[in-house]
Amino acid sequence: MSLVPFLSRRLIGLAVMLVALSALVFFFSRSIPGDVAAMYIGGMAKPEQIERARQELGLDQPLTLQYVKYMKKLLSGDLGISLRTHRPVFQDLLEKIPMSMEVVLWAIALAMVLGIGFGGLAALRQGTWIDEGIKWLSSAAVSIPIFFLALLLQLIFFNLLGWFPLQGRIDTFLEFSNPLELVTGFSLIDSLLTGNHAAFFNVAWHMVLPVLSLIAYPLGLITRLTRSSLLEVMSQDYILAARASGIRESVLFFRYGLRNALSPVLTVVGLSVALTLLATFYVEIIFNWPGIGYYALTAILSLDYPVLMGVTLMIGTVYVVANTSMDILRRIVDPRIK
Amino acid sequence: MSDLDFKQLAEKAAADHRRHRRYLLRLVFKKRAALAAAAILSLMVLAAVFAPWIAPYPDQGKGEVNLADRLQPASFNHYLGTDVYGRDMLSRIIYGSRISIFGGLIIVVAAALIGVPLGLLAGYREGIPGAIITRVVELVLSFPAVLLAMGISIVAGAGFATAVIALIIPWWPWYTRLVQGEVISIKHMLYVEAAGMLGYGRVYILFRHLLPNILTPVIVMMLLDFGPAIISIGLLSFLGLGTQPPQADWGLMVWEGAPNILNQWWIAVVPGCAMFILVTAFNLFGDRLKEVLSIDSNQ
Repeated sequence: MSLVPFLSRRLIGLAVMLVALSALVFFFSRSIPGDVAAMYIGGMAKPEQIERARQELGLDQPLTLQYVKYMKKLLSGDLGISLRTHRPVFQDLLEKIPMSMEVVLWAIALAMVLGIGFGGLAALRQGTWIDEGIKWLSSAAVSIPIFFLALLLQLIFFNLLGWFPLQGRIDTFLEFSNPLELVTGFSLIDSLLTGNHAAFFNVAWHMVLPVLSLIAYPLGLITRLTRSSLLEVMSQDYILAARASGIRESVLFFRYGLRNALSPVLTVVGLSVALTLLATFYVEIIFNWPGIGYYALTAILSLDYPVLMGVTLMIGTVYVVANTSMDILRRIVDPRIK
Repeated sequence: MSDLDFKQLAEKAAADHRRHRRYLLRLVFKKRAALAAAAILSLMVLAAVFAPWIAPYPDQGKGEVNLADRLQPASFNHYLGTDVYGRDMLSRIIYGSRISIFGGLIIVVAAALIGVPLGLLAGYREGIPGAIITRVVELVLSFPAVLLAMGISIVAGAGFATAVIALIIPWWPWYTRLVQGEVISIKHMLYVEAAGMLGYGRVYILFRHLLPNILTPVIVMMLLDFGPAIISIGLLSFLGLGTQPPQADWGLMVWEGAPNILNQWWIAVVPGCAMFILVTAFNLFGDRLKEVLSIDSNQ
């Protein structure tokens, strides 16, 4: 199969998945217990007020019609209105996504670089104490529950050592003296663009512990996988043949070994993006970081279904898109895959 | 050759097989870490089973409040301190281990019981049944598991049973995928085709020749899935989507301890550590078993 039909097949598959996803999310959220219209109005509402809200939200119409309307709105980027805050969900998401992505992308990028580095090192020094140490650490990293790790980091680095702040995104006094101006929504980029160095360092300082919590699982996963994949590749006959023909060991390792070992690693990187987005639920609530996770968690606790749908749809989309793009990337890196 | 010779040969093969299995098990325990992991696992399972007799304060383990002894650090009365409601942490941990171990066991076993037969079918009948099963597997796996479980728990109402079912739903397809691949790779082997030519039925071949040969990777996968299953249960109950108070559950206990993390740190750290130790033990043991089996199959 050449690249063009492969790509089009994958993209059609992607579209089908996204439609299935949205249908699933819609019908799922409509079976959440509780009267949505009453929740929208809030506490003390008269029955006729609730009835009016029901009509306003279109909840009195048949479910299939509601679904068609929902899909139509979805295509124009309208995810409905939060039952709790009465703000458009789409707008909220746009505001919160950069805040979470900032942390998530740092975590994934670092996990990828460090994971491939550690995994490669462990494979190169197979059987030594370095290998053993890396093996233990990476096992520990995938075994520790994220919420526990986040609390542990707070306990050690804030309470015991006092190196990093407990929670929040920026110190309160800086919010007044050097407020962040909104350009891209990514606070590190914004503060650099506007020359706000004080805010830049402060935000970066606040970001360390959340990133460290998020990094653990993907780092452990990527390290383990890189190690085992590399060891398998390096035991192949063509490596032996290349070594026999006198190719330098470093070239052998990087060009012949690592490149071929990376294909399974890329799959896991794609998976890690979505897993890490989910992990932000826990990290953001513990570190009081005002991103998607925090937003989603308050929605879970108050059964705010338009928000839940929006977040689920977003994470599902990231997951599906990340998986598909990693598959495509794998195919480009590794021409043997058919 | 007479029938008797066949019988003797079969008995000899079975004896060899048993001896080989004992040898592999010895090989697994040759590594101290695996031995330690197995010891920890057996201790924790024993503690979970005999919780009412082992826990120093069984009633508090079940949820009885004891406000007189709130927030006490470790002492000879309470080896691991007490929580916000004055309950003995050690008793809570022992009762909570029942949820983690039992929940993990149900998830892994149920996922295998659903996933393996479907995988056998999909691999053995590659036509329409295979295609349908493959599509369903792909659909379920293309959705983040914990998110799906969260959704199910919200809709169906939070509780331990819902959380477990909500996790089985996204879990079984991994087994189907594994078994399907294995079956496709061995069903064209000579001994399977020979059995077909000798006139044995499909069902007989499936259970006599295919199933035993895919059992090893399935068991390894089940062992390695235990840790993630336990963590997933914790992830749900931490958010209040699993076991409900006053029952003891490690994830829930970390949540209850989180506001006090800076002063009474043990309330969150003790259940967190318990979870970490249990999951690490399962992972170490599973990794070692996988290692030994892969060395064995390469020989």
